[in-house]
Amino acid sequence: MLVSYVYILGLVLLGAFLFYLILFILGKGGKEKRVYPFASGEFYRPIRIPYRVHFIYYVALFAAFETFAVMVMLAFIARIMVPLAIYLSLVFLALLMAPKVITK
Amino acid sequence: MTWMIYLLLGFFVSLFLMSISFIFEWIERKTVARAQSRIGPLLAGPKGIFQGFADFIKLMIKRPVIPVGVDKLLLFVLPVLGVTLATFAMMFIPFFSEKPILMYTSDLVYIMGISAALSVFIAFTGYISPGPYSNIGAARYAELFISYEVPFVLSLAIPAMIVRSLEIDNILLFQKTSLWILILAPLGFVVLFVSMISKIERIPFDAAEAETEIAGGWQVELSGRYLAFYKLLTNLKMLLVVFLCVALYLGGGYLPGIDTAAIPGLYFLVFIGKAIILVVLIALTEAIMARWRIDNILNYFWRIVTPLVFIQIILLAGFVALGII
Repeated sequence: MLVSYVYILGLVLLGAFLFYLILFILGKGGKEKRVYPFASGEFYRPIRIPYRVHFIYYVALFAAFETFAVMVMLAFIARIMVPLAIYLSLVFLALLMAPKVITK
Repeated sequence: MTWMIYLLLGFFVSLFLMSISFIFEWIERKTVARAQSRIGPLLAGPKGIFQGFADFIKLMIKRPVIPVGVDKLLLFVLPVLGVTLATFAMMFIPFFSEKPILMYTSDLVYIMGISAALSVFIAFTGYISPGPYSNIGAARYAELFISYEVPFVLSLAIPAMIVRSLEIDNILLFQKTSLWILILAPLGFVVLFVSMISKIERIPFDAAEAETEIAGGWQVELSGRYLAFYKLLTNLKMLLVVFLCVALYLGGGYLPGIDTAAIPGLYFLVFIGKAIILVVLIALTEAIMARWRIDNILNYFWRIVTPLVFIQIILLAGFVALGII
């Protein structure tokens, strides 16, 4: 049953993909033209900027919280309230303090 | 021949959702224009309702100009896959009738995953083009993404916590028989609304595009059918988040005291009506506000919006522990 339903989901997804693929292929408006990247009139070699990520702390927080969202949902469904409330309070405090640490 | 029916289902639902997304774009553009004392789209169709279609067709038949050094494979794959996934995610939301087109266990988690993937696709698009503006746009988009995504996902999780189910279908059924989640968790709705505006890159959170500063950001190197597909992806993303908000917080196609599902077509009309109200609110926000700097957006989301959603969750945990919900 489950396998057959996944098969149906796959077919519908394929149908949607084919629709957009056909549309994309139909939209070919002549031969593609290659130009140098737009740089406000300056000459710019086509290289990707090796930019530094200043917000790495935010990225770390993001990864933790994104995974955490699903954990919270599951905890609510399983009715594990007290440990969750304690953990949430700690996270909340950490969140308030985190930006101060970053600015140092 | 059953497989053919499912293929055609995917095909026609995509066509339908694409058309709806163009009409929503028209509503948004018209509202912004009226709020700014302009006329807005006027010529394509009655009151310019087909402007979205016209723009799409025009871009599709234009000769594409692509930059030297771009990753050609990703440039082709990302937009097509993006619009497909956005359409696929919407099929799990019951917008047409009480039952969604597709159902699966824990479908809310998949929708969260797909919506995050769509944002990552956009950040990648900026990065695969080797131009200064598109790279800066991609970096800004990545920063924007890590700011709004956590409150966005947590605010989507709140209805699941109240109903204790990860299926959108069950969340809607709860709202049919009980109160709307908006009333039970108003802070969650506010957070979702703000994150939604950021997710679809509307003013004040459009720092990743910022025409006046970085000439369009991640999309500056796009043209022709590539640009057409990214515009479509943005429209479909707006439709997806608005539909999610209506289904999870505003009772879907249900109205208090009226069995909308009993009258054919009424459920769909009510659902679309609520979605239009949300689009108008987004458009009005867009019309009256100015663009924020990227560091201000980061601060705003991490220092104000994310703690707000945590307060809502802690309150909910308290209500559940006390047996109120």
